[in-house]
Amino acid sequence: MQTISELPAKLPVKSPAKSPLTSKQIEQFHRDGFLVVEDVVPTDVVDRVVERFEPLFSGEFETGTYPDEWHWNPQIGKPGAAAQMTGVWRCDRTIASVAMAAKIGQMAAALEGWSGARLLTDGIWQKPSGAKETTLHQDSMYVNYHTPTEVITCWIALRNAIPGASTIEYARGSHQWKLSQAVAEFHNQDKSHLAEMEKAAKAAGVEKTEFVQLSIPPGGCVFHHGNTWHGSGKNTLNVIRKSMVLAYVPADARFKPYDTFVPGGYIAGKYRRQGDDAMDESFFPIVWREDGYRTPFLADFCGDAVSR
Amino acid sequence: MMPSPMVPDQQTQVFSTSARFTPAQIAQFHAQGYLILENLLSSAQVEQLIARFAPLFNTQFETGIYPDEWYGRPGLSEPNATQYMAGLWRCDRTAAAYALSSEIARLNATLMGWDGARYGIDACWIKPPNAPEVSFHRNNTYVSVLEPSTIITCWIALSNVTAEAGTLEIVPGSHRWNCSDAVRFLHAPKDDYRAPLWQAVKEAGVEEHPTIVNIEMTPGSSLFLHGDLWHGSGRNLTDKTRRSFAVSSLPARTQFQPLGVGTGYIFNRYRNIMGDLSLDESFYPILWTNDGYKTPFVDDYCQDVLAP
Repeated sequence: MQTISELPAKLPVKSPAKSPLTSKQIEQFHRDGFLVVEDVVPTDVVDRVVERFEPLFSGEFETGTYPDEWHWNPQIGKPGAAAQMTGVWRCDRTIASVAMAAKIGQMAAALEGWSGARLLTDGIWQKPSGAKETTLHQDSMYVNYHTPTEVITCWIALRNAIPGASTIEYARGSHQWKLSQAVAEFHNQDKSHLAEMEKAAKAAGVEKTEFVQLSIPPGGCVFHHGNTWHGSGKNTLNVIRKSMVLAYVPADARFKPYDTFVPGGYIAGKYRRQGDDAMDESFFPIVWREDGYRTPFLADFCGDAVSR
Repeated sequence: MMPSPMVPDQQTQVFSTSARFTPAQIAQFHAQGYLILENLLSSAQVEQLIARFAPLFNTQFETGIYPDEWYGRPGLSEPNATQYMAGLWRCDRTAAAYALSSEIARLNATLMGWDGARYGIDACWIKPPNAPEVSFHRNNTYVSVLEPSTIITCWIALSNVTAEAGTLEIVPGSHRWNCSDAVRFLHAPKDDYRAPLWQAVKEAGVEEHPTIVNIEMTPGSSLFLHGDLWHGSGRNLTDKTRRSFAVSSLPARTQFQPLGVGTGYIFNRYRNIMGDLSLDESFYPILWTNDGYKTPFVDDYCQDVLAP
């Protein structure tokens, strides 16, 4: 088993007593490429977040601001299809109060050895009974336009994160494989949702991939490395799986130097100012930093429902 | 109230493309709230734009940047859903050549009497056979977070748009009605798609059965819409897909309202929460001014296909 002393130099230098996670948890994250942490979001907060799903997907945005992505709604969405919304914190302060939680950002920073965490984007997912697979992918395929280049994702279980109900699934240790070309479409693939991952495993010389489907109680979460292959299977049960996703970059991250646009900028690239590499806190707030700094407008806008 | 019959407006005139609008054209725009300009785009330009839609809706974005708004995503939506995408200029530089056209901005500004125009919204509307109705609305409703809260739209037909194919329906003169509107999800309303219009009729105290004009145009022709003009569209009852591309402009001097005023819609996402009220030219470039200024990066980013 790998020990702390053998881990990469970027691991946190803070004393374990100050870290929200144990050395063992951090070690497990770097070994597997993911780490489950239970009881992160209080149950009553989970319930309040879940209550926001229906109005949000119906287009009722509390703040009046629309999300970055809004796939599926009751009017024109295919019944039984997956529903996804990104950039939800601007639309709804209940969602924001979790998305901007200092405690979760601090955990993300501890796992990556950062001095602070900046929220890159958030998302909510709903997969009803019969919803199709979500193709396995690596988040870094889509998030590689900034420096330092790391990204870490926290997937929060809200409802029915259980095997068979399209819970999150991982190829254990796959963060050690080479970063693959971006998977173009992960909602509507015409091939197995594991195909791209299996191709990457082969390229990495991995003969047998350890493939895990997680069972996480509501309020628990799983952090995964930006290079870890993950996705979800078809929902074969008569339940609706709901989850929330938070992606973080280092607090000191900047855009790489680009000309008139950020190639592969996905959503974040839209928020880069011409001739300026800064990741502006208006668009990418700093949720936790070890010196106590936190983007000021968050206090008035949404507070923090998790770190109470 | 029953829908009024489709009565063509006897005063509707069709003008040919010219470098400048005549005083009569401008007067008609202000009297009626709309103006048709034939052959704004050539057949080749129409084909060039249409060719970009298949890759865009298949998640193949030339720049790798996602749009601002996207409905009707394949696999997640009903097969007859209207395919709508806004903010295409960030995803595709061919679409940008039209969305950021200085000539369209100039035409828009000229009709409104502005001394300059900046990008507001660009959007494509693809209505396949049996695509549902689009609720009546006023475009200015969607810019209430901006000061001044005014927008003008150049709506370009990319196919033969007819009454049967669910073309745009407008109510001439309704831009002068004193009535309110609310931001709502416009696609496939469960109720009568003209219900917001009937409510406006009641509120404004105008004649009970206003004239509703179906805009019928050939590919490449355009309709200029005042931001307060009531418009919507019916179901596509033909076996052909109806396509259009809309380029909306704001006055160059537009800025944000103070925080908390107006409905944020897409615009508020780009607000510098920690800064001033200005609309950043990186996100809302100035495309034409009568003193010759244009946001510098635009010419490096894309062609200006309609430049004289």
